[in-house]
Amino acid sequence: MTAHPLLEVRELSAGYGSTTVLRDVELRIDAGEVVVLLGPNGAGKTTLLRALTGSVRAHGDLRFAGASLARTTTDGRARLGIAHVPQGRGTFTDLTVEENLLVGGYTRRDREARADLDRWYDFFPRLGERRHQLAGSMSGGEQQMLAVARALMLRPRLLLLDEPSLGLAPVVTQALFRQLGRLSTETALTMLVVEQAAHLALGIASRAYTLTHGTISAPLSPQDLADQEELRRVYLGAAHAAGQAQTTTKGRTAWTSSSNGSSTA
Amino acid sequence: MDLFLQRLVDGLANGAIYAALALAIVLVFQTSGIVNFAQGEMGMLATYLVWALTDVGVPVLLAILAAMVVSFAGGAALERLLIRRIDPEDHLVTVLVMTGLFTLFGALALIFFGSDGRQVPSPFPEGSLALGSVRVPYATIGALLVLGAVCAGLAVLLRSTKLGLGLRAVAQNRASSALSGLPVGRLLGIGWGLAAALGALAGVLVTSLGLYLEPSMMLPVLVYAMAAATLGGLDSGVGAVVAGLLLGVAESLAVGYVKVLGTESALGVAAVVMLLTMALRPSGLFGTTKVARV
Repeated sequence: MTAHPLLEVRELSAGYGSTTVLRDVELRIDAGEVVVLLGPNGAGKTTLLRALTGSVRAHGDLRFAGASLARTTTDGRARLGIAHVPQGRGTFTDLTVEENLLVGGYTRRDREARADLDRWYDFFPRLGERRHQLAGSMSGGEQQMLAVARALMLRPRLLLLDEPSLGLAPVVTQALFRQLGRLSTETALTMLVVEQAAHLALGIASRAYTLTHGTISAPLSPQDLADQEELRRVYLGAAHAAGQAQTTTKGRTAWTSSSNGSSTA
Repeated sequence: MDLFLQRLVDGLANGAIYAALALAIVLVFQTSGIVNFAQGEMGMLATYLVWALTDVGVPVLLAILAAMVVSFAGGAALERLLIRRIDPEDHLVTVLVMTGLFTLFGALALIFFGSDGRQVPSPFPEGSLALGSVRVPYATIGALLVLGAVCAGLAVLLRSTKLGLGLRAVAQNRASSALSGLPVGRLLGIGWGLAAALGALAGVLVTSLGLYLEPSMMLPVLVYAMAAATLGGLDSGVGAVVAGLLLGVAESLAVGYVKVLGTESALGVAAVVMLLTMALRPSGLFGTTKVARV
């Protein structure tokens, strides 16, 4: 065990060109946690993930396992173990499924990467069935699985997921989050998830932050979230509350039980 | 008929050179998203190196190998020091930088070597093979064999090696490649290096067909190679090779059968091909049409 949190962000500001999107963001993620980042569109959630991978201009103190990331490039951060599944998945559409995964494992020894292929084919059987198919010919859900598997091929210490549910049918999204939940419990993988389908994301979360107009909230425990009617209304969405009350309740039930699970563990 | 076949054969020799340079242009475009106007001039400078080395007694094959190695290093260094600083989306800047390089390399050759033609020893034997009444010069056979070897080598590199997978990944999606930890900068440098080495080979092939080495030697080659890259599709290596050979043959037939066309005005063939491609099929014969999926 290290004394440092896996990721520590202090006084981070970031933006594009002369536009500042994030101001004074403070964030902390401990190893093994699943942290969910909630917030309305345009609040800067994607920018925050990009600042963590070094793909946008950012100032502030970023520390990964205690070491500053200030001088580390995007590919260098990946080699340190920060994997990012970007919005829109970033699939190499003209490469086969297997080639996509091998690109994901590019920085690792060939033998290890090959061994991991089988592991993730096992975990996502669809990918195994389609290993020689061009990635671009797969459905959105399959491509999202591929994007996650590609990121996992890096053997990341921290997995950043940007709206994995975007463009997916609800049933596919649910299957995806089941898999992510399994990953968290079986491998203790640390994740930071940006998600609009908040009820699903909170189902696997140990903590959450909210981001509004580029400003981040204090960390919220599952209990905080459960207690805050207001927060639920804003971030779980009025539509969910009304139209999908069933799902929301189910999501919350799952998450409550998982938080019980972690407290008894 | 024999005359037609002879012109076909003559065209293939030039075509092999156009194909080699077009392949270099495609390689750079694929990895960096930049069309390198100076690719031919870089090859011309490399050919001067071959000349200088053979002039002091280095065997020609060794000199060519050395020029390719130096070109690889030079191409990679150019990418590192200059190209990486430009945003390929900024077309005006890109065009200005590339035009600047083109002019710079031409001027360097003039300053150091003057405009006199120099004879570079050919790596191929003199004479030709008689097939019926058609004469196939050994230099033509050599140029085609070199092109074939280059294609085979690139295919193996790109399809069956880890480095090749990295190059293809960077060519397709640079952002995702960086997020997967690929050394993007180094891979781009390797792409430029490979293209420069290929350009050096194209320059040597030009002189092996009997042309004198001089600073403006690669100009017509560049025009045809650009036309070939356009016709084949800027993102298709196969397209570049097929279109390069086609254009070589088209040039030879045009000069042979259209009496008003001299060797110089045959450049018009390349221009017409480029214009027609842009008008009728902008992605080229083998290129992929860009479809943006949201």
